[in-house]
Amino acid sequence: MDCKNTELYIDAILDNELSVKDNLEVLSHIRSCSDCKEKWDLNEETRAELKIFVGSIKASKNLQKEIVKKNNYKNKRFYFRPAFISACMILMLSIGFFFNYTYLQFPQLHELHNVVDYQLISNDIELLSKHIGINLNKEHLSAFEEGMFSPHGAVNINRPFNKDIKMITLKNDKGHKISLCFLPKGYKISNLNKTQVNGVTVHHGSKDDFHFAYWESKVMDIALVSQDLNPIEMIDLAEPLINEV
Amino acid sequence: MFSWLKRKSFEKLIQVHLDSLMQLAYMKCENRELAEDLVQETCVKAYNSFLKKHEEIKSPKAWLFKILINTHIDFTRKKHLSIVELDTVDLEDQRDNSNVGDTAFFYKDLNEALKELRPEQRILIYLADVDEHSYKEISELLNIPIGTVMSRLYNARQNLRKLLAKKGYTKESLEVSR
Ligand SMILES: [Zn+2]
Repeated sequence: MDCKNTELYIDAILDNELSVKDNLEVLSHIRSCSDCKEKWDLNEETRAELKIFVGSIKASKNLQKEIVKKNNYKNKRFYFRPAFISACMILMLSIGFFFNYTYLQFPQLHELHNVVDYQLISNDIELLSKHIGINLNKEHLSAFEEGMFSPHGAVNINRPFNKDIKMITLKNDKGHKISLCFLPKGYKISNLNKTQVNGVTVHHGSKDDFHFAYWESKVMDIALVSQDLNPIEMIDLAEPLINEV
Repeated sequence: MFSWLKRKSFEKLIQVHLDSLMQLAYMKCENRELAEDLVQETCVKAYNSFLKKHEEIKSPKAWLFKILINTHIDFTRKKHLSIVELDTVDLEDQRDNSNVGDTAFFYKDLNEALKELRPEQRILIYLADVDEHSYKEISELLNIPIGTVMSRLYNARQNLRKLLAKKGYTKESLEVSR
């Protein structure tokens, strides 16, 4: 490796675009050549400064409000349509009628599992966890990672059902999908089997086309839902989570 | 079904990526006010497309970036924005208590150097150096071959380094400014 080639490779290393072997070759040249070391340091420093400087440009608080307002305005025009008004009246009457014996129905886990695709906000598990308020890290999902599953969507629901459901959906390259649901304590699905995992009782079984598993953790109940994986496969994937979260 | 859920999740999606959108828009538009307009217009377009979407969005950030880049093309046509200058960024925010003067001056010069680059070069530098996209991702986002990404990025960085060197910034002074 000579100085000319090294210069070309410095950016590629900092960009994470070189193979480990090339990386080692270039780095060993840089260690032994003060000219190239200086170029390396300069590139690294410039990049770091750029990150701080550009990263400090933030959207103003007003901007997000404006965006929500703009999109709501679009929806509002909808309210003037006569058909919509009639629909609202019928809906209000029906709610009034049914309210006494069927409180607004809570969405079923398998329903959420099927719509959570649209809720993707990021592929980054830590970012997802932060946004739905669950303390999850990469280790908790290590078995998922080994199975080539990656975060695919997340959702946090508390209204209008007055309960809290947080859900993260993961998918692998075969298109197999599994949702991890964090639920208020007291969650139950009847007629399931029981297995002990890490000293915790895990309930598991299948209903219709869906497979379920759930257990109680310290502050909430955690459930798994999938159509593609059977309960035992799901429990294997979730094992590092059981008794940890 | 669950359209309220879709709207909420769009708001969440925007909340998560808004700063990145703003940074990309700033690199595109060269001034803060225009950047905010561009982000707003991008979000309106993104929302309409999001409502119609039934398939998954593989990489939401890249999806939003792509909409922003396309929106900017219409935006420039509409508003003839080609000769607007980069803002003076509020240096208060970046000031580090220990080295107030140096840091502020350095970022002012860095901003000026960025201003002297062509917008396409700024975008490449933003995507690769600040937002850390891979060459492949940049190539998909900007619709150019990977080889072109690499050569343009190389030129953009060389230009930026030359501009900074002209202003007297070497490795040592960069270290001092931090
Ligand atoms: Zn050398």
